[in-house]
Amino acid sequence: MSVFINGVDKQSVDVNAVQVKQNLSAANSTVNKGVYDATLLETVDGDLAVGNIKTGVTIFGKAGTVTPGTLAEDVEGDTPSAVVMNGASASGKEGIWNIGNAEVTLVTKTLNFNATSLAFATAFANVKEVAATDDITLQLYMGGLLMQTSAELPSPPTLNFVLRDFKALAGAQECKLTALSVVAASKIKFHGAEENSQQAVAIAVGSVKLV
Amino acid sequence: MRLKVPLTGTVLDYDILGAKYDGIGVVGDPNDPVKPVEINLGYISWGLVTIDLVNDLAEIEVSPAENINVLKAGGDPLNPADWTSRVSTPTERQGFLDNAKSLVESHTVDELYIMSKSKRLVKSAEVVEKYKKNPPNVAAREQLLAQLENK
Repeated sequence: MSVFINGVDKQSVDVNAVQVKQNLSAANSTVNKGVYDATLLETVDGDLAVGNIKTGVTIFGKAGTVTPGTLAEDVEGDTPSAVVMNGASASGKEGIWNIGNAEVTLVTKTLNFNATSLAFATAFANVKEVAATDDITLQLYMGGLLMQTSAELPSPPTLNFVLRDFKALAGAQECKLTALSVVAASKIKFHGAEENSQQAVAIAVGSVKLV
Repeated sequence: MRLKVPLTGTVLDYDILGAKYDGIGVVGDPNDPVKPVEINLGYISWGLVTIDLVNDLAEIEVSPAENINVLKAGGDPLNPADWTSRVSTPTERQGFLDNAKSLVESHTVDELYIMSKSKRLVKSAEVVEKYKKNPPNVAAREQLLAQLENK
């Protein structure tokens, strides 16, 4: 806006001039030369709030309260764990794991996590045969905590039975897949590597560290 | 469907920062893991949602079994060969959930410990105080679980 005095544009001239009233805008950071009504900056732009500023940063007197989260790669544990069957096994074709009236560990992976990491575990079982009367379930543990329990394994079984979950872990921690039954002489027969190219049972664990 | 089931095992610590991201925070003893008491809830699977360290309860998300074992007509229930499996029906699945809910909610916590022959959860007062002052961020866990399910 222009202000003319005696035909001369006197806008925002300091001496003997008229100061034009200006308004701040949240749309940009421009502060035009001029006069302004008294106000609070946060009324001009409501985003100027402590909840929008990170901790340690102060903007126009607003001390931030937001703690930013940062993720960085921690451990990479994508190598499936080896499994040794404890029952009779036709070499390469199949393997038998005797469960019995017990909970047995099928496969485990222990990694050293940064403090604190968010670990992701995926466990799978390549089940070939299981008896309906054996009432076998699979369990996924992470860091001394039972995270998932499957329903009773169906007979005939579902190929590539998968359990997966995530948990904050720090230091040396174990993730494992177990099989549980209350039936004496219960067992699981797994596919062997010669029958298909997959591992019989495996658990893969990876994590990101929380910075 | 969510259920709350009593816990057993030994708590070693409570991870305050971890609880903000995994919605649980509890660190269990691998030699005596923290887990719900072992009661047969029927044809269901479940996943851990969060843990209440004040009342020693696990909140679990229960899902009905997609495939169930059924006895063939005239079959011997003790003979594995007389069993087969099939996909469960919607009515059966609701029945599985109703059964699990009824089993848990029709018994007191004390009764569930006795039925499962489980010991009470072992934990220190210090760990409980950490938990009370820094409750787990369950919403963060639910959000990430939902994303995992969609993959």
